[in-house]
Amino acid sequence: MNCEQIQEHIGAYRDGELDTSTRASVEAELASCETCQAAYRELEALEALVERAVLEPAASVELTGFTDEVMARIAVETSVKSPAPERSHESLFDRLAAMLGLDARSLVMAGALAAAAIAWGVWPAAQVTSPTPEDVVRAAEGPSKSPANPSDKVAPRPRRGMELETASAGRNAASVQQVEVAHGRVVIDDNADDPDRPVVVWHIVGEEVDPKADVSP
Amino acid sequence: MKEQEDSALVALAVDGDQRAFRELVERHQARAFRTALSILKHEDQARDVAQDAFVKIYTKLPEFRGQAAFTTWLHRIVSNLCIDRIRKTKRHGEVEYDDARSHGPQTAASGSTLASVYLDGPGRALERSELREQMGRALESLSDSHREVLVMREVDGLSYEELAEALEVAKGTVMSRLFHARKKFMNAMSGYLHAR
Repeated sequence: MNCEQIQEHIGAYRDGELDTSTRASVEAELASCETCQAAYRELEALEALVERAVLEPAASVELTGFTDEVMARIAVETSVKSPAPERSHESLFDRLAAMLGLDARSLVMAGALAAAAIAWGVWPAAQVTSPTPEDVVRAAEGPSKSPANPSDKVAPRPRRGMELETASAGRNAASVQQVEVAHGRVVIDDNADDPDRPVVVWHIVGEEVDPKADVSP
Repeated sequence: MKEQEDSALVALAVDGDQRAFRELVERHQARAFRTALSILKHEDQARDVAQDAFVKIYTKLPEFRGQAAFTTWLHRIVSNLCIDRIRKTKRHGEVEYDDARSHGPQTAASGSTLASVYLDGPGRALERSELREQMGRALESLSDSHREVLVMREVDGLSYEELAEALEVAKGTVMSRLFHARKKFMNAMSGYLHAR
């Protein structure tokens, strides 16, 4: 093989993919050819680039909650195409359904309130009260505010695809459905068929929630 | 063999078994994330796109005929979504295009090789995200087949035999594609690296 042909095999040589005789030919060329040696160093540089830019940071990132987030998004995608059946008991669903008459932002904020209230464990069973502007602001502002009950988890600020997973104390008998609004969706699954699983709320917004916005209906 | 297990999980997921699909996500999320991270600048972007890919795969499960390995399918979807995202941000002007890229061939015989610039020179001080941004653009400039084989080899670490099986080509084709892909990629990176 000539030098150009050898260079085409240097990658496979470095990858350990050559047969014995071809490997010997490449090694012989590498021992004496500066051009081939430079090509070999180029491959080392490429590997170093990938290691530094991709493999090292990827190894340090924990994909916590990745699968749950994917499955929650799939649940929304499939539910949109086939609306969930009506539930017999009322409370939160009826309240949210009534709020459909509001604009998208108000309903998104209402969803944020529901998520925060569940996370903070203060949502009374089968009772729904009108969210006050302060409640919505608190929900939107997220973890900087203390929860009503110090023993409850603080709800992080909702963002695209994020789940809010509550402790079991937050569960209640509220029956809710998927609520779809123009700019975002709120899915609240009461997991009635799996009492050991905490309530999962998934909330995406098309725009940032403005905690200062007027939320009066 | 793991590949048979993937195909079995896909078949179950097509029939509506969400636990099977969940297992696929668990099994391949790290791979999807690494692939996305090799093209996108930020880790949270890579996570978003990797999730987008699985959601897209779920909706397209009935269309998967098993002609390619599930990992190949996943890689292609992740890769295409990443490229779409790069092009979208370019159109919206959110990223300034760096014209320092070399458009000419960078021969290995030149006095200052990319290896020496990067490994020994100021290249070591590069910010990772900036480096990834440039790598993403370099990858975007490759053809789909070159980008695919390069990322699957350099990021996923597939052997030539695994690549040949996944891409349904001969090992010799894998070797040839990799050679050209690596050369084009490093040519695309050369202007950026030499400018540092």
